[in-house]
Amino acid sequence: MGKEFRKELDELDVLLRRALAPAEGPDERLNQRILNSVDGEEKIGKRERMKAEMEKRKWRRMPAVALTAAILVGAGSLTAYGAYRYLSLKGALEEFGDKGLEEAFFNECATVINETQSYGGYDVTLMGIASGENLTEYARESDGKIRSDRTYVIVAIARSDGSPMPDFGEPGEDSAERDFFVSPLIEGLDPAAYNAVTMKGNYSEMLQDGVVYRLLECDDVEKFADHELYLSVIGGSTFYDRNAYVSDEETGKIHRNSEYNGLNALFRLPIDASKANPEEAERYLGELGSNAGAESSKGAVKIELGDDFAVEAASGNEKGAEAAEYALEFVGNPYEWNGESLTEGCDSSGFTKGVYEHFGVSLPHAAAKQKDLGQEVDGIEDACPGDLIFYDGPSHVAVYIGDNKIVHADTQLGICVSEADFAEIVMIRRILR
Amino acid sequence: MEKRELEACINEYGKDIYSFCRHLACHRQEAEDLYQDTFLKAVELEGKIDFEGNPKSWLLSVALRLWKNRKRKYAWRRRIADICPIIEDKDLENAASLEQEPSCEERILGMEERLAVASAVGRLPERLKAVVLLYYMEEQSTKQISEIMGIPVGTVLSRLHKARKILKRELESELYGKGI
Repeated sequence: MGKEFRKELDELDVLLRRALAPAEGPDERLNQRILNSVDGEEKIGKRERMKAEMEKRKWRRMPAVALTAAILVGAGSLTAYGAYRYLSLKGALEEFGDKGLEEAFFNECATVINETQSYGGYDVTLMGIASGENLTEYARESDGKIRSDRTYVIVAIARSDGSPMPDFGEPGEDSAERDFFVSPLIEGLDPAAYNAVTMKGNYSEMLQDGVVYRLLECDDVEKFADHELYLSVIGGSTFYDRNAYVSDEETGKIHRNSEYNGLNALFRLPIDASKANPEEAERYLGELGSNAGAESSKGAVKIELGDDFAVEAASGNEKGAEAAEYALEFVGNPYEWNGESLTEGCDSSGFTKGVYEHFGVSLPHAAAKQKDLGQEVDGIEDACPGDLIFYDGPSHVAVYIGDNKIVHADTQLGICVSEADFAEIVMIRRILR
Repeated sequence: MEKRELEACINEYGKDIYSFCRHLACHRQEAEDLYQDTFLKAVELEGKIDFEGNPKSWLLSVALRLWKNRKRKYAWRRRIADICPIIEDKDLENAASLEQEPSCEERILGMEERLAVASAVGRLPERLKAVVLLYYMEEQSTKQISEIMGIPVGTVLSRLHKARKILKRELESELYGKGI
């Protein structure tokens, strides 16, 4: 039996060798193409050719209108100036051309994707993404600060009907036809507040054979890889359009709005979850928060309550007062993005969720969702302790404790007491009775 | 590498490398890209090449590395068409024309055999497939394979063994049906 088995294997070897022997050579034209791309005497590789291509590019900054969007979105006008300073940095883009971003893309630290989506008359191809630590050698200096980790994304945009895209033309000219907003988005973060504009985005583009190629760079998104990461491409606009995507308030996942009239492509970025760095992500959000005031309360100030402070229970609202008292027990505990622990760390809606849970009320972990519950209270003068007060969108929520004061989880200050009017109140809700 | 060196390389090893690429990649276009990039990379990596040594093994290792890097790129296409068309019509024509004037019957038999083997090999898991292609198609020794793939010789042997067992089962009709 053993001998027979051996013989079969030999026969198999013979068969495999015969059947797998290289039979078909490459097309002669293919060989010619390779030879043509290598110049007669010089050693010219693909990299050099790419570099020559890059030089043909037109470098463009984020247009001013995107900055307006940053102001509208971020509400902190200081940030917008900060962003503008960065965006107006001259030569930054040329510099990274020199420092070999091509190299980064054609060596191993990039992910080549090449996925195409067609919406609103355009074919958008996500060509590749490079990000993370291994790009640090390409880091640049700007504003005297080394900014190490960035994410680079290349997309190609063509018309679905095959007609060429128009040339870029002069700035100021009506250009809606070639306006695109390209931005990474992060699961669980409001896309209107967290996009390429707030993440210090910058792009360059070139037109070749009627196809627009755009290279976007912004702060590294790899640290958020434990969340779903997306790349959005909106047409006819140079800033984020709230109508283009739907953010699921329960899960935080972002979807295309299928009703949207126009181009609203959305790609999943295939970044390995192991690249996530929650601490760094939190620190980054804190930084954005203090600059852009994005999720948090801008400029909330911590107030120390006097010993004589007591939550006043209005009649019929004893439960709310109890909740306010309970919420105050956690003052001094830390803020943590996405956190739900009143003691270990929570964000603003995680805080209210945790407090209400103690009173048998289950809230969703999203300010935007919480604001639909209970009854609306007309104004702060009618608010009772325990009511939820919503700010900024709403992307921020606090528990009212009476006397024009709130307790909330602030990105910068942690759980603390602040004035109720530290930012514009967009809604007050009474859920506990 | 100068142009004439590249040309010599392509003439000498083009067929072998192309064949390897063609079986690694599912689609002709992918294979051609891989083939082209292998040589371009070879030009780029000039200096790291030991052409006195064994350029074929070296080119194979470049092709394999490039392929590993871009598999992800192609993954989405596979989701759309999860059947790998390893053999296309053009391959059949080529395979037929390449047989050296055999009788008609022999030609058809040879083609069928190639098809059956190619698709059985194509269905192997990636790590086994590369070993089989390097061993049977490219006639690399197990030591060379271990260098190309960066795995120990023992691992090469065990993968070859595993692949043989699978292929024997898959190719039973080829082995017995025609009384080889």
